[in-house]
Amino acid sequence: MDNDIKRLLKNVLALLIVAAAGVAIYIFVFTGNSDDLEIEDTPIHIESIRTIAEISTVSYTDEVVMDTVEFHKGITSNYSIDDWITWYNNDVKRRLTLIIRGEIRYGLDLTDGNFTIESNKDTIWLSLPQAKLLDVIVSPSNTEVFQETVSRGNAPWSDDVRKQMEMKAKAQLTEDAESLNLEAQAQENAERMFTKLIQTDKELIIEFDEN
Amino acid sequence: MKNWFYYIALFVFITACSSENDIPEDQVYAIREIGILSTTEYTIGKVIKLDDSDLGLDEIDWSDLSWTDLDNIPKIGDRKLLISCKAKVKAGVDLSQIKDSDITIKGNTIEIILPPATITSFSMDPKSVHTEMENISGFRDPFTQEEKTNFLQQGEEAILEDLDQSTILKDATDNAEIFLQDFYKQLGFEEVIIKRSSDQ
Repeated sequence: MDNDIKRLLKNVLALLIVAAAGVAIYIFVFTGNSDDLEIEDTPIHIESIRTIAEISTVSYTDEVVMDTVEFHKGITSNYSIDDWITWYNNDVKRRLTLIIRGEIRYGLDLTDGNFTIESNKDTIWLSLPQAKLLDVIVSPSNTEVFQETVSRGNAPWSDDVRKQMEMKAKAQLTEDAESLNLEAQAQENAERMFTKLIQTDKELIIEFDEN
Repeated sequence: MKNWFYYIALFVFITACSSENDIPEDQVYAIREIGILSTTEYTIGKVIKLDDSDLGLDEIDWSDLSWTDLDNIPKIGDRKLLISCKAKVKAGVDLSQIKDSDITIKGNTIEIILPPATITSFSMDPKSVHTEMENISGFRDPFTQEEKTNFLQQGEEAILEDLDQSTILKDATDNAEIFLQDFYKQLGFEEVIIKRSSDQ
């Protein structure tokens, strides 16, 4: 009986070594590992330069998780290795999960010089445009691919799917920000900022145009 | 027969735990007060180029090869990728850094010390990112979305580094000066002196 156990353990060990060698050959010869891959040095092209005058007074940062998952239709055969793998992966055929961090800024757009200042002996009237959404900032450095799985024999995730997920995340960030009524806070902050910049003994009246 | 049962039970126990990660929950958002005057916007285009086929056997130091270097062993086949992208970069000054002592008023003259210009925002719209060419040959795997995101992150860093050589910060400072000159003149000041912070 002891001999049987020893022989079994030896066989299992041999199988493990063969399997490990197979995996090592697969990983180190056939697959690409991008950890050290660096892009080549290419020049940037400045396509346009624009003079603006945007005063951002509120910053809202948030992160959105976007998850796309496709499932197998079910196990077709108990004798198929593919179906065993399917079972092991909880029937998941492909899954892509992104974590996207973004920043949204509200403030005043004074680019067209659309503000007026009037004053008399005692009072200064500063008329400013309504605060609005100025920037929805998303960038690759704030995008994380949390999980990307593709089971054997299935196509990899396409760029279009990732792009759609990123655009959906951007829309979600904007929607979340809009629900917080940040325009009002942006105007309050703008009032404080202009009061600090205009150091005067006169009474300062700041108004925001309705249109 | 009893032993076989133990081995099978042990195998099932070891392999029962799935390695799949849990999806993280959304983090709590943050709202904060800022005071940034953005005065210049650059639209930048860049082509991200990656050639994963240039490793040769002669480049490997076989005498000093360790397990961690095995990734660098040349693979069978090539992978090449070209991605074009566009970024919008804004620059300006942080008005919240201006202290009361930075503003001096003498009669109809105002003197203001301006903080240094910085990049105020970098944004790359997903719509402006396009894979122009992707070529996989031999036994190589296609590029994953994780790899492409990594290349785009490197592209972002490269754009910001290259912008150091451009005039974006000078333009931002000049435009901020013009804006403040105009603003204070409308307030009734005859002379507006704008000094740049010594950090610049």
